[in-house]
Amino acid sequence: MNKRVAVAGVIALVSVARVLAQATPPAAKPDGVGSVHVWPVQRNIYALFGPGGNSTVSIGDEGVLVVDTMTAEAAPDLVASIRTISNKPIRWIINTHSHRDHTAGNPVVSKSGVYVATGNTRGGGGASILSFESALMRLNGSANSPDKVAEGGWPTDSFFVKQKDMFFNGEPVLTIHVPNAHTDGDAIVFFRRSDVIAAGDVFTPDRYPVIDLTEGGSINGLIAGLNLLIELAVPEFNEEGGTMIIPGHGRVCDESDVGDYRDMVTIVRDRIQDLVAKKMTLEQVKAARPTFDYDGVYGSPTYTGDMFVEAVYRSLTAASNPAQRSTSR
Amino acid sequence: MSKSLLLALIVATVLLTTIGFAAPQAGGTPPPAQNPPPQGGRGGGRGAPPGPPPTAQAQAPIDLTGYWVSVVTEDWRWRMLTPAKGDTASVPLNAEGQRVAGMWDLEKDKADGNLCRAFGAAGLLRLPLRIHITWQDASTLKLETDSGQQTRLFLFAPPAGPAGERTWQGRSIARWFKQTQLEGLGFGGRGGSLAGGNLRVTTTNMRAGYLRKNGVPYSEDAVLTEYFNRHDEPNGDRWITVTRVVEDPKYLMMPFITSESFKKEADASKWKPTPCQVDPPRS
Repeated sequence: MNKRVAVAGVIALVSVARVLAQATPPAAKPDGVGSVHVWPVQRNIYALFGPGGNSTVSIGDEGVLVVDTMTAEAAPDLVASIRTISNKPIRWIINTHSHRDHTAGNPVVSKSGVYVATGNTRGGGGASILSFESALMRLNGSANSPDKVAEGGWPTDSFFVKQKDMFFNGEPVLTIHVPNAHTDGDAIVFFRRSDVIAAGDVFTPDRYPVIDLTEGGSINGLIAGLNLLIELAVPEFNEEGGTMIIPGHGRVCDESDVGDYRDMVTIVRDRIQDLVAKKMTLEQVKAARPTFDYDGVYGSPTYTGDMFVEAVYRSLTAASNPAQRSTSR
Repeated sequence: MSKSLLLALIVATVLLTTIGFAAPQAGGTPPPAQNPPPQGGRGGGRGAPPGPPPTAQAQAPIDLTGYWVSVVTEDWRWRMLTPAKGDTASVPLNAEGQRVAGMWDLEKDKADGNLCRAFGAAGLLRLPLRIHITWQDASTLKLETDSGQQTRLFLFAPPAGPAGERTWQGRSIARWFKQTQLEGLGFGGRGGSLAGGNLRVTTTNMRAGYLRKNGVPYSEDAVLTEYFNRHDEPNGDRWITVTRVVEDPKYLMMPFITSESFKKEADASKWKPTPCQVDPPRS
């Protein structure tokens, strides 16, 4: 090859590289604003990590759908972070349950969005909010609950059946009720084409599961919910990847992670069930330390193994626990 | 293309057109109601005297009678409670409608004895209430509500003559309605078959009232068209879905379309009639 040809080749390569660089600028790496961090998960689904919990966001041509709105304090940062990944209006909020670390941001996030009216028009009223019926009743104060939020944060829409479907941003979005798990108003949200599930507090891999017995939660309902996640999720290779699960708290996981967590919860439940069958008191059960081998992984100062043991014990020994019948999954 | 082939194509096209290879009606105006043919007096048999036409009750393709409770799963805060004055979200009001909505005065309505404005036909079934549907006679279906104690009469055989004085519930003309169903790819010929059935009710002659309890207005010129569908679930639940279209040239920019769901109740044990009542809006 003579020198001229070599130089021409280099010039041509440089030119092509320049054109390509102009045509495909490097993708901006979303980071988040303030206390909220953005993590692209799959396709058009993002996980947003806040100080009090996680949100899941779907972005696309139709607008923005937000699963859980964090705390009231974090909500402005949540909205600002969403704006770094989409300039489309926030159309929908879905609450996975009524607790304030997932819903207190409803008024701020809704107000920054646009209502999808149930009539044939749009406009006014902020983004629509969907929750399971019992969560609605707590959020609007119909049920006596500390979860009540300001009127602008009340769900506009609710469902009481097993599953509420919608099609948004080019994919089916399945909001599936999980009976009597973390509370009695839990829902998980399955983005079917993106293959991502927002699990709410049915799945919290950074801690033992909190079972809110005062709001209808139960250990067996929670295990059923974890099994439902495992049913829906499909790994890509060697039990890794594939369906991504965004928990209410903690890191993004896949099916294998949920399986490990389900095993832990089930083993602890079974240990306590055995002790209950031996007529042991709560104090005796705690003394037996049924979570001993897991405390290093899942225990935390705010929710210790003992607290989890007590919740499981009370759930199993409750005189009337409808969720005890729903253990077939 | 040879002449013979061209000729064959023309002949085929004419034949298809003649035997009813008609394109389905697309959108727009729904096809005219096609009531079931009379069961008596169809003729055809020699010597069979023509009988009276069947009544609307006898023709009913669905049974709407019974006690039903509205299930509010959407627009909770605009339906279950009295919204704030001027909160007209999702109602396509024009400027005049907005102005009138802004003039709402609950105390004045109370003083004037007009609390039932929120219980007029165009807004009634959007409210949380129970309904009781019965046949008043063979050609009149009666719908009563517990909340507001309103009575609507769906007339299948409306009397001739003027409608008379305006009322909250207006004058409702009803007919059974069956939607033509296409068959396969539309090659069914003869316009397809009739399936299911619902009730279509057109209501006019209403007094001016409210679409929502907070004074979102509709005028005397409003026309309400409703479609009552019934669907039965595998678990035994019985439902009515009412699709309602409110057209009002005075206050609305476009038709206001909503749907409401009612679940059947076993009996009248939860039926508690109360007069028209409007709570003050939340501050």
